[in-house]
Amino acid sequence: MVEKKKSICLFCSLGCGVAFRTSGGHVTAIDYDKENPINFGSLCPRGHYNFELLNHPQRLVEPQIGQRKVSWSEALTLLGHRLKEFEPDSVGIVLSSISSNEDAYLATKLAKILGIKNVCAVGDPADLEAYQGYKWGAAGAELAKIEDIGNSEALLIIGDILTRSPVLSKRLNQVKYGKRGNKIMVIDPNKSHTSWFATTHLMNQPGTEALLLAAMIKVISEEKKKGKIDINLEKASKTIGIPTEVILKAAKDFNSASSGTIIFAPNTTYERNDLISYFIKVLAGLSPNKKFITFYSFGNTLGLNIILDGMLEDHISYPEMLRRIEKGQLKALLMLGEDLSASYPELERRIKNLKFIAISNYFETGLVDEAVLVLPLASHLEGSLSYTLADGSVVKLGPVAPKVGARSNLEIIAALLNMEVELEKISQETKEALDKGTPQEKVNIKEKLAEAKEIVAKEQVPLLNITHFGNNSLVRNFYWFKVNNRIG
Amino acid sequence: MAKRVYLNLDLCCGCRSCAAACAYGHHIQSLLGHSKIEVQEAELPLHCLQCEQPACVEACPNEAMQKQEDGTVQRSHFKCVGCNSCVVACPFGVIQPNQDKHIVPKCDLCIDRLGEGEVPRCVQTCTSGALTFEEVDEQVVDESKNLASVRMLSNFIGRRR
Repeated sequence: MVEKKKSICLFCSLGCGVAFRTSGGHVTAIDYDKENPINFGSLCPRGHYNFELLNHPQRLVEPQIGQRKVSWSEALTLLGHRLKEFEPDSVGIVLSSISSNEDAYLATKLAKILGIKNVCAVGDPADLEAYQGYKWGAAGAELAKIEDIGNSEALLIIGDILTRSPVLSKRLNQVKYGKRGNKIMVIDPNKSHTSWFATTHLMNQPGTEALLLAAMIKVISEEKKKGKIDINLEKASKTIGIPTEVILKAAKDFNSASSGTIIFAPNTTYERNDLISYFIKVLAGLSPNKKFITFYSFGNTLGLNIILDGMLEDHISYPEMLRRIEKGQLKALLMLGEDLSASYPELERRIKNLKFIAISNYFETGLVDEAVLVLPLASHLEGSLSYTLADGSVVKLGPVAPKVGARSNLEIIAALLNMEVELEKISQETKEALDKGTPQEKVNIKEKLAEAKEIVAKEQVPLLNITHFGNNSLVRNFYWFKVNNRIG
Repeated sequence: MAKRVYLNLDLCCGCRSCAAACAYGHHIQSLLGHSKIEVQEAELPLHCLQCEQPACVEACPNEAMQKQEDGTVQRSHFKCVGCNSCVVACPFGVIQPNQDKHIVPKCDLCIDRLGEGEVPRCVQTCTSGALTFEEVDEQVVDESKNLASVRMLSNFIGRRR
């Protein structure tokens, strides 16, 4: 009996619908969810990984210490004991960026009880930098929904969004061929998949994206007579590498469109992702009927950070965590869903020197040692947890396939806390934590604009492959990733 | 009338989803090739055109390639020995060799899905709507669907660098 089961892809923060054909509890093939309002059945190459994740031959099914297979109860008892052995200051907890909101909520609870402050969400460093800028408050800025992108008259795109989320190309085409006079402006130093669709390609010098946005803010705010901004357009245009009149025209075109969306794809090659993330908010607030949206390279970057910021105010940032590992300040590390040693080969030696490591992971890791506890992790397709997508909407997934020997991070942490998994209660508490929303920090826009003025152009960085996925260990196991990147 | 896959170059964003869907639907053997126009600049799908007089059928020494009644060219899984004669014969470079499987990949238009009233996988998964599954109409040939269009040319000639 073939059944069709639906779920959501979390390999980027767009949240496309995926369907699977199951027979007798096993997923036999990938199918397409044509009714989903986000993607209408389209899937990018990464979306197909979802199928491989369920059936991958290297998926872990048993916990192991070193090379010895152990039972779940033994593994969890050991984990509980070992975590308490160390000083709270020398223990770190990292959360993978496709962990659920519930995982993050319980992880903060665990950290509070044990007194651990070294907690962070991992992900693309550019994404986390962009999130810092997203927290800075700007008047009148509104987060766009996915539907708004197709209904816009003008799009301002910073970065190569179609490399990250190709499924958006349908909506880009909708704007481009929908009405005469619609504008798609792309800010990218390279010719890219996105710049094919641009009506105006603002080819700036690498690293000067924030300055270009600052110049656009100056043009629009002076047009609206909203205060004077201390930026010399001609000097800026020399740094950016785009003539002044082109910048003027782009800013005026964007301002005069009746509706518009600013799309940002954070990228490690950009100089100041936080400034760009803040400036798109300012632009969206300044210009009438405009909205902004940032697409992160993993599904739940937004939700994880909102919960961590709300529940655990003094948690550390991801770069700070990497620094502490590098300096050898940590003695034990609990990695929930992400193997940092595979993502950062340069940290591998440091991580191997730690006294205790616990990893919950989908696949076998390179770390095989007596001090390493590896726990098989259930994927987002095997649980029923909630996730926050790029447009701020929260989706709850249903299980597609049964867990075979694996457990979710939620169950692992709940076992450590000696509590029953009361999913409804935890979901309710998580929802309350999420409803508080992103903490808004007050910043002075003039200071930020002054910071943008100091930006200088960088060296040209070559185009990234379409399957670029950040520096993540998860995707390296997938067939299509290996084919496109000529690995293995 | 029979239906065929068409490519609208104006819409394609080169995301390779069609090839991924093809590979995941055919036991990790991609039947859909990809052409590279200037390295790192553009990638476009090379879908089988199901020719009227297929060169691959004539070239096949083992009668593995055969033209069906509905006009499609199908490759027999059992007769194919992977000699790559059709790879050389194909005038469009659509058939590409696969040394891992010792069998030549050839588009079958996803006959398993067509039987269910669905469209082929590459068309279903296409993120931009560039690939469409339409009826063959010999009277009207929309050239924009098969020729490099203005957008492509302007992108390659007019930009700096």
